[in-house]
Amino acid sequence: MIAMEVLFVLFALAALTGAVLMIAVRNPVHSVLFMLLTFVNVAAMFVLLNAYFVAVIQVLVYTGAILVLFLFVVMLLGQQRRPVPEVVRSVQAPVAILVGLALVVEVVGVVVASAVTAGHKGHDTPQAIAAAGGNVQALGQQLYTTWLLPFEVASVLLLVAAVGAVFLAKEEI
Amino acid sequence: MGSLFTGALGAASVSLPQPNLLAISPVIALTVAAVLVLGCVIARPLIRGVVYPVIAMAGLVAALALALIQLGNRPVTTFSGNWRTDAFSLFFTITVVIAGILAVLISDSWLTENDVPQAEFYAVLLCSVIGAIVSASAYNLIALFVGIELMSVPTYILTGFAKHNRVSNEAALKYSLLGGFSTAILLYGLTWTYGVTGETGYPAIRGFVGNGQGGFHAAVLLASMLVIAGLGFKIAAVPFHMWTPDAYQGAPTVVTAFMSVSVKAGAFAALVRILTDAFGGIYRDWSPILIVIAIVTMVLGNVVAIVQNDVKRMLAYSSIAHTGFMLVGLATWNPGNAVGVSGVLFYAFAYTFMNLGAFGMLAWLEAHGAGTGIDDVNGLFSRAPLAALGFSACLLGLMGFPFTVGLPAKVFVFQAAAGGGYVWLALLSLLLSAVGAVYYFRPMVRMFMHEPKVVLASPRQTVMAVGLGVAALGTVLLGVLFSPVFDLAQRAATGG
Repeated sequence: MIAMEVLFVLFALAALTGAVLMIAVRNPVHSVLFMLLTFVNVAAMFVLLNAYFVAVIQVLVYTGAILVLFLFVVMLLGQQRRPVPEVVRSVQAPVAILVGLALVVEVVGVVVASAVTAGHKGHDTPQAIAAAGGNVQALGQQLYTTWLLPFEVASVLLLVAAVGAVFLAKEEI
Repeated sequence: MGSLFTGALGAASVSLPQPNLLAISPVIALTVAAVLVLGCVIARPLIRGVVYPVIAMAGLVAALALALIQLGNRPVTTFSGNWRTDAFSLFFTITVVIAGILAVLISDSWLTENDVPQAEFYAVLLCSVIGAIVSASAYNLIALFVGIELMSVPTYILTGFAKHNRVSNEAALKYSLLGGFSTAILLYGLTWTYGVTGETGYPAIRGFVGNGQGGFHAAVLLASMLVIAGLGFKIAAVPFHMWTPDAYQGAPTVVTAFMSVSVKAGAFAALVRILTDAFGGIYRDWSPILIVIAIVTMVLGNVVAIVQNDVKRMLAYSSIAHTGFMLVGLATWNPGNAVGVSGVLFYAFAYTFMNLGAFGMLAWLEAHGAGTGIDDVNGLFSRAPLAALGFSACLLGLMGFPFTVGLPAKVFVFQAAAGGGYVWLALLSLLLSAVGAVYYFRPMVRMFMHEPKVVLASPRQTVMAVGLGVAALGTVLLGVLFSPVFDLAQRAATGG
């Protein structure tokens, strides 16, 4: 059990490092690569949580398809070095650091104070997943029964996003 | 409620849910209309442009009818607890559908004159209405999130619909970036809620949160704060209002008219429902925070609106101020003082007519070749007396003048504040709404007393005139005959 926890912390730290570096580096290509680091580590955390199917999807869809697309777009757009605007350096950065630190203190305080582990576990325990016949079966069952409505609404959301993207991007329609 | 979720996973054979389709019938009608509008594009060479607004209008009217016939029914919770149709959700459904109808009426001339593709516009508009209805009817965190996204994403697109206009592009980019940021905050709050309670359904969360005893109280509080911040962006509450003036000013005016009322109504519905249902037990914790937000929102909105020289931007700040007034009603809610929520409901309904009418009048001015600056309304009364009267009715309504719907709306909210034990807050809100008179009177004085500065072209805008007439008449008539709507709002707030 200890080994699992150590692994979890390691993956979590790697994911966090990737996330911080992603927004900290100035080169967009490097940003995308650090995002890749984050996504792969999140996938590893899903594996530790026994969510194998989600882990595979995370690697296939996010790190596979979406990040490659990101990389293409970033490289095609060209990357001239833009100077950091003065207002960002003098006002935005200090305020952002302060607010960010306040949020970190708040979250850490909450975690320490309320011992979140004492909260309720969800219904989708490993036993329940095993009873349903495995990860894919459990997910499929849930998606088309309990979460039918959000699933259908999400399809309308994708439709409108596609319509909007095509409309805004095409010169003449 | 919990058994619904455990049952679905534990069963060996999958039994498909038996959803109540009547409950979601308004959404079905609108989705069918949206897809039909898009489908008609295929036959574009064969059919005339007029078919798009007709289909959109038919869908909206059908949705309105389907919502109205359900008004007397008992509350229905369906789709495994994801959806709840009751007087509350129906009230907001009716409100946003009316906003959609008025928006279709006033958009027609802008679309045809600027050669904007109509099919895409109406489809995206209808989807935003669907999202607002889903947000108002969601009874589960996941349905809520999908609904909020479906409501917001179309408005980002609509903001940038004048795609050859740089201001519109900039507004759309700012709105979508900040909107995405706020969505992330909202989602973080929802994951905290799930992480602590292990539940996504509102009744189950409420049962777990209780009255805030237990070691995880701080975590629940953090979750509710993140939810307030995330939805605070959507309703344009200070300090989450930064996008509002730019997005409202940069968007095509007809779009501003629509989104300033429908997104606000949908997000308010979601906020009211999650705070009073899921987090209802810890109202002592969130209500002081909402009171502070309400006060700074009212102060900033009302004060900054005074110095604006562009009527569109002035109305954007006024829209922030109105968020503050509505928040007063929600902030002073407690289980024994439900009148606060009925005040919010009535306010949202009233606001639909007044604000859509006011922005719509600016769109009318633009359609006649004027701008939205304060000088452009000069002498409107001598040129177009009906337009000036309609515009004045909407502005007086926003001010809260007697014989307009603005007065009962404000009275109910302030009454709720006083009833919840916050007499000082009611008095402060009253004072700040009097400040509003300063900037609402300014364009009116210019309309009636100044010499005209710009020459208005006079194309006939029959459909738009009908829409604006309905908004202005609604503002005045509801100011006198408000009791049926308020009774409905009261029933909705008390869980009828």
